[in-house]
Amino acid sequence: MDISVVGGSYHEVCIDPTVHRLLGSGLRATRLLDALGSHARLNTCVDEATAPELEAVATAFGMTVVTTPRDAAVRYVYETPVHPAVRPGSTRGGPIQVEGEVVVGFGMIETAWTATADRVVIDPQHSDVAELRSRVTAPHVALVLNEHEARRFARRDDLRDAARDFVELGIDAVAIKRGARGGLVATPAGVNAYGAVPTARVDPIGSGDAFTAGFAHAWAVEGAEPLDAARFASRVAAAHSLESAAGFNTDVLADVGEPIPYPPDSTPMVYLAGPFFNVAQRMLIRVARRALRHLGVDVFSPLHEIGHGGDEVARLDIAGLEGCASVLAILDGADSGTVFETGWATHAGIPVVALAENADDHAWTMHRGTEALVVPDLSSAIYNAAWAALGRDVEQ
Amino acid sequence: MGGSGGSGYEVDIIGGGPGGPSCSTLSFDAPVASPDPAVVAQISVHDICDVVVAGTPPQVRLLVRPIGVQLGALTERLADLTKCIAEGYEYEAEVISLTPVVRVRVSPRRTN
Repeated sequence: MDISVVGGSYHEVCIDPTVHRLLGSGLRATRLLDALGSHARLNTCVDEATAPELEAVATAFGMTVVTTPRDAAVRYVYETPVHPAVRPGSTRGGPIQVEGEVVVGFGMIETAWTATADRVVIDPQHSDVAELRSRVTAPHVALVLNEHEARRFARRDDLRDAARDFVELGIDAVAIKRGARGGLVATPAGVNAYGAVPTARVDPIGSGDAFTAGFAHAWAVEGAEPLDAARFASRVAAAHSLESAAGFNTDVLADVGEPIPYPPDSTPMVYLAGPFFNVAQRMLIRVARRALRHLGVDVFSPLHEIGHGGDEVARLDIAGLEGCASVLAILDGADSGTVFETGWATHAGIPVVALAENADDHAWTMHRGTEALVVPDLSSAIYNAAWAALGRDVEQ
Repeated sequence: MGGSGGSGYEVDIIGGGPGGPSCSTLSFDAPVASPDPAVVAQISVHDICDVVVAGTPPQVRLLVRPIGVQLGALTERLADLTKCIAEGYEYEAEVISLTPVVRVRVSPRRTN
C-alpha cells in the first residue's frame, strides 16, 4: 500500500555514545514503513545545506522524498540517549499539503501541514494536538503520543481522562506511550493497556517514531484493532532499539518478544548503587536518577537519601535497599560499597542491572554468574533496571 | 512556526571544534543500508570493504575487497565521512555481523 508520511528530516547528534546521522521523525518512519512492506513517500522540509545528505540517505534507503524549502538545518543534540535534546537555532519552512489513502503525520518544528486521507495517524511531537487535528480531513484518525505530551496537551494528570478528552476531538484511537511501562489505548469503547517489549539493548532516540510507524502499519495498513496495533508497535520500537532505523528489518522484528503484562500504576523503587566521591561520579548518579524517575519509577539514591558519612550510613543504605524492587549498579571503578550492595541484593532476590563500560570484563564474573544483567551503555542499564522493578511489581 | 533559541552549548558538548571529530581517528560501528542479498551471501565476517563516495547523488558506498562489488551504503556519520574523504582520508569497513543485520566497523584505512 502507498503511504504518505509528513514529518521532519533532522540531524540527530549524540555525544556518548557517538551518533551523528540525518533522520528525524519523518525520515525514520518512512524507512521503517518501507521495511515493513509498504511503499512510503516522505514529505518533508529541507534546507540547502542538508539537501545533498537527504538525497544520499533517501537513495541509500531506496525511498521517495518530496521536499519543501526551509531556511536552516535542524539538529537535535543529546549528551546521552537519556538526556533531553538540545535544539539550537530556529528555522522556518513552507507549508505542506498531503493527500492519500493513508497519511502518517508528525508535528514539525519548522512548518504546519494539512492532510486529507482515509486514515491518518497523528504523532504531535511537540505540536498542539487540537491544532493538528483541525488540519486533518479523514473519516478515521488515530493519535499516538507519549504520557508527558498527553498530560500537557489535555491539561490533566490522569492519563485515562486525557485519553477520553482526545477521543472527544473526533479521534478513533489514542495510543499513549508510557516508556518502560508500555501504554494505554483509548477508543470510544473504552481504555485498555499494553505492556512494553523489553530488550537487553535500548536506544531510546527515535523509539517513539518507530512506535508510530509500527502503529500506522498495523492499524492503517493491516486494519488491526488499535490495541493489537499498539502491541505490534511495541515490537517495532523494540526492534528499532536493537538495530536502529538503518539496520531495521523483518528478521530483527521476528526475533523480539511479545509485550510483557502492563504493570500496575504503582511506582516501584529502584536502588541506585554507585560511588559518589567526585564530581563525575555524582553527575552520573544525578543523570541516572533523573532518567529513572522520567520512566515512572521511584529511586532510592544513597547520595540523595542518605548522603556522605561514616560507618553509620551502611545500615541506612541497606534499609533503603531492602525496600527496592531492583538495583541499578554503576560498576565502573569497582567501588567496594557498590559491589557489596549488589551482592546483598542478589542474596535477597532483588534483581540487579549493572552498568560497566567493558561488560564482558573478568571483573564482573560474579555478577554475570548470578544472573545480574551487565550492560555497557547507560540507556540500556536504566531501562532494564526499570523493567526489572516493574516486572517484580507485576509478580507481587 | 519557529524553532527555539539556542546557545553555544551544542558546540561545547560536541567538541572537536566546528570541523567535528578528527578525520584521522574517525571510527564507528554501523548497520549497512540496503545490503545486496546476493553479495551478503558471498561474504564472511571479517571481510574488508573500501569506503568510497560514489554515485548520483553522492553516497557513501561499501565495496567488498578485492573484487569491488557493492555491499550496500552507509547512512550513519555521513556528513563526517563525506567531508573527511573529500579531504583525502581513506577508510575501510570490516564486516562484524551478517545476520540479522549486516554491520560493519569503519576505521581509517591501514597503509600496510
